[in-house]
Amino acid sequence: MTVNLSELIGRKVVAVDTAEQIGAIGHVRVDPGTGRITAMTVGKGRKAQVVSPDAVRAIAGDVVTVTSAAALREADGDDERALAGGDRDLLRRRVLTTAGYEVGAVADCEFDDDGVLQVVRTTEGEHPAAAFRGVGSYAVVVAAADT
Amino acid sequence: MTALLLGRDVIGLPVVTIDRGEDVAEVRELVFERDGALAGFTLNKRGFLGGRMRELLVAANVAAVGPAAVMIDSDGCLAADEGSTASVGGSGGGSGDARVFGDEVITESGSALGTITDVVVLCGGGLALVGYQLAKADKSTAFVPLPAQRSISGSHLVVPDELATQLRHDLTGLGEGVAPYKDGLET
Repeated sequence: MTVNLSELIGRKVVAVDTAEQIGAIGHVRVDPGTGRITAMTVGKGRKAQVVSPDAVRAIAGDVVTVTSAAALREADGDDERALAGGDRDLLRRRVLTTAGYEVGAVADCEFDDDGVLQVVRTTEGEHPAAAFRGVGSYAVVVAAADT
Repeated sequence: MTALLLGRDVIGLPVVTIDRGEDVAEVRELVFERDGALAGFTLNKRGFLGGRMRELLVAANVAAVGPAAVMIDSDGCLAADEGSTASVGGSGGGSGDARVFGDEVITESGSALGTITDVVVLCGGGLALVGYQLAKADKSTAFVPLPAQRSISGSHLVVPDELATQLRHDLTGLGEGVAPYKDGLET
């Protein structure tokens, strides 16, 4: 089973210890080296709280399950604050190749059950996870086709 | 995918890090070595009222130049300007011997072909100068492929006599002219 990023964003988050809904997924960070989801936030904006992946039980169902509401914490450090601020978001971000060409914007991303990136779909085509190089406030960078 | 860009099209492009996807600067001016080679870029901060940055982007740290951005591996690729010998060749700039824009193009037998108005850069990996745009006396433009260059001094660019009859009048023509050079890059 695969998970689309567009469906993961906004998915309800439930704590398995209390069965209470604690919010909805706001932002997702994907590590360019491994393609893995390395952090998510519950909520957006100033209320965004970071949930580390070791507290996440499952992402592929109707809801995202986490071990406990206590696993949520404030964004800490530049990278997590950038995540909470939306600077690591992939969706709708412009896509540049390592050769300096603009090749559309991110339409969606597909992950496997374990939260490992499989494909980046853009408005102009798709790129395998292995081509993913980086994401920031300006662009998602993918390897040029001939490199 | 191979394409060519004029120097003036490179000016203003964002400088984007591959590892973090951030636009850390934009190209302000091209900088040339004394022998006419492209040394790199001076930089502006991004955005309205950006202003000049102290750092330089040297050619060796350019991962690629494309129509949408200049790509660098990380923001560590920007180096502080430590008074390098290279100088700016942009319009109105240019000091000392490294001036390129405005140089007169002459053949070995002394005929004047025109003056350099821009440079032509190869898109793709690294930062490669492949030719010059020149304005001829009759106001038309033409392109000189870099391999045709005999020498450049800061006031004159000397080219072989036979080039006078082989000037390319558009970048497509120049693309053919630099093909041998590109083959050389790939080997």
